[in-house]
Amino acid sequence: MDNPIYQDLHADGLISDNSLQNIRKKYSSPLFSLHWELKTLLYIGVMLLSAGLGILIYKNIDSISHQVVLIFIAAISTGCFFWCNKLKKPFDYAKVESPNSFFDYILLLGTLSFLTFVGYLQFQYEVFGTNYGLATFIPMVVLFFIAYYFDHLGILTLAIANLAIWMGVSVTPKDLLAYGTFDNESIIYTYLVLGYVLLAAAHFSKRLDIKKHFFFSYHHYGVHLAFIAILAGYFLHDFVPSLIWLVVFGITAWFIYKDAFGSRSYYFLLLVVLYGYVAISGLVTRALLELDNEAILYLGLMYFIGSAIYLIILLIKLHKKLKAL
Amino acid sequence: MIIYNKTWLTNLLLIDGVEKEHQDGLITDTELKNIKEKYPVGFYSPNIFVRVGLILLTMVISGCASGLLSLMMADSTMVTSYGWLIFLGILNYVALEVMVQNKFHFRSGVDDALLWISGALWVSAFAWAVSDRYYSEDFSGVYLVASAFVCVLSSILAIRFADMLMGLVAYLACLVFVFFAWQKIGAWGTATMPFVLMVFSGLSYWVVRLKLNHPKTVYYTNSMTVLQAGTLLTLYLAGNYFVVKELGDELNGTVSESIPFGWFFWGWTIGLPFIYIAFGIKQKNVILLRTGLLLITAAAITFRNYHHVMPVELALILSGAIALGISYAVTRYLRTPRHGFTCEELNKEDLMDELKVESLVIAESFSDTAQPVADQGIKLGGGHFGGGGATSDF
Repeated sequence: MDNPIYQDLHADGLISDNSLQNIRKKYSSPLFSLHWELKTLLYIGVMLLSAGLGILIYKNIDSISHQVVLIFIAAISTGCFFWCNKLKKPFDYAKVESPNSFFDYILLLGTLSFLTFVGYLQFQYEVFGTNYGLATFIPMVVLFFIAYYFDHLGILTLAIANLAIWMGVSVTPKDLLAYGTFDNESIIYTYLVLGYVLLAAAHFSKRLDIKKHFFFSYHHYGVHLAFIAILAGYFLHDFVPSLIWLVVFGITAWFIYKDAFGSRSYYFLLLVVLYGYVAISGLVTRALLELDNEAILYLGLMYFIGSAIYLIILLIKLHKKLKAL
Repeated sequence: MIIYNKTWLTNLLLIDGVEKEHQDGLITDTELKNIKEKYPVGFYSPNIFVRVGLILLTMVISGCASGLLSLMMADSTMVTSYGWLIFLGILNYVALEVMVQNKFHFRSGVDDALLWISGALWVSAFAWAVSDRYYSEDFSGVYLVASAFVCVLSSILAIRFADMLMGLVAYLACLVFVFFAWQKIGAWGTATMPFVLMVFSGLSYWVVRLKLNHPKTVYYTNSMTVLQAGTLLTLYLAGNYFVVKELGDELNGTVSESIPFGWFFWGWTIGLPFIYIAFGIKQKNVILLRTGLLLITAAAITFRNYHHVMPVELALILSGAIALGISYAVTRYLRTPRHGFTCEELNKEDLMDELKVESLVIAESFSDTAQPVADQGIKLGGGHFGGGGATSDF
């Protein structure tokens, strides 16, 4: 169907005979890809199965058959792992392509049933006793191990989420009622530490060449957590001490900015610019509020108009600069 | 009509096609470079990340500028009338025209934001004006004129700026207009409503498909794609058992046990997704296929809502296993391409790759499963709170 266009291009001498032949061949037997449809179906299948298993346990938790359920789930989990282990390619520090998408989702199913299994064990038999730190630490380690051993990005992100849970446990007092809010210093520090740990993990995966492609997942969560934690700390403190947080922000942002240029990532560049804008606007707004004058509303609005126009120009410039690299 | 430079749009279509061949390795680098030089595109259209940033910043500017203007005019009575919203809408629209015509922005984020802001301001102004006038009368009159206004306005904007979502809004507004206009007929109108909406959706789909390769729609490929999906969805929903029954009850103010022609609507609810899929496979049409797959879920949920044949966990496990089984079987079957179908990924999307969307979706949907221990900890010891917050940030 696109052939007339390519024939014109060929007539103009813009496409060689060889290329035209290739394109003709492609359009004479067009292929229709079902790749994403099948992948979505796999995803839905795993989601439904793990949800179903979860409910199955929940309903049978007090009945006699709970040991049967336990064995059933353990069997699914081991079956998945066994199958994946048989099929997987040998471990390597570089990226190992998975055999197919079915492999990825069976591994995910195995991992999820493993988590359900551990959760059930803890609930029913309290294998970890009241040591909740350990009860989240072990699944986390297992998740990281699976992510690296089988080279699975999805499970890596699950492991990162579990790392957050584990750190939340070990730092916050158990009776604390704040549910992930940022009005408490120790929570902010936890998030900050977690953010920096993830940023360091991202840095070293790239630097030491250990599963380099895991960089994005670590960096993504690290950047968001670190910036959100610093901004929360900044807005929590009074005007003058909050300036220290601003300095911390500046240093962190500088490193992430450099890295975004190094890895040519528009995404992280945008994050630095937008989070930076929030920080600077926060400073200006708070400084204006200190003035306590009627004109502050006008000044504030004018600041936002001017700064946003400047930022648009900056973004367009940075985009060009990054494109030219 | 269309505001953008047509030569550039044509070139852009050509370049997009050529770049696909280049990705498949059918065209060499120098050939691509030469073609790009011969067919220049002068638009400023940055990638999605910059676009998102520009959308946010343009919204900040537009909002603050409107605020500043209103503040300066706060003493006059002008600000408290709908005319002020029309005025602000005009300002935004002028900015939009200037950015597009002088700065050549094309889907850059700046034009997206200004387009939607001016549209929203005008619609709010219209709703304000109409609700003042119709306040004492019945509200369906307001809906009728409002949907007509939205339809006309968004059609004009969709044609001028070739915006796909604006096109969808125009279609949906038109559908809403048909709904309220037909309702005016009375009891007979309410009774035949599903069929009217089905016919309207079906006709719209047919027209869109018919005009797909029309020379006039060549710059509207995205809009046409979205319209196809939209019309197919409304065609299904118009005859979906749940929608028909609940909407009928709503309109008649009744609580019904069953509906007339129930067998027809059940057939429609269950059968249509499979018809979509069958045609999608036969015509190798992605839109039909994906809409059909999506609607199977809708059919399953509708069925479960009225017939409880098995407990929910069994239904989940069974359907999950079936989904995995089908996916596995099809993948095995298509290991070598057959009948023009393959399970390989043909063109890799750069964006999906850069954001690692798949892994983020997995983390988003399964991190609940990842913390059963922590959940139980809350029940037993009442602790582990920080973790919940960590995952909800994303």
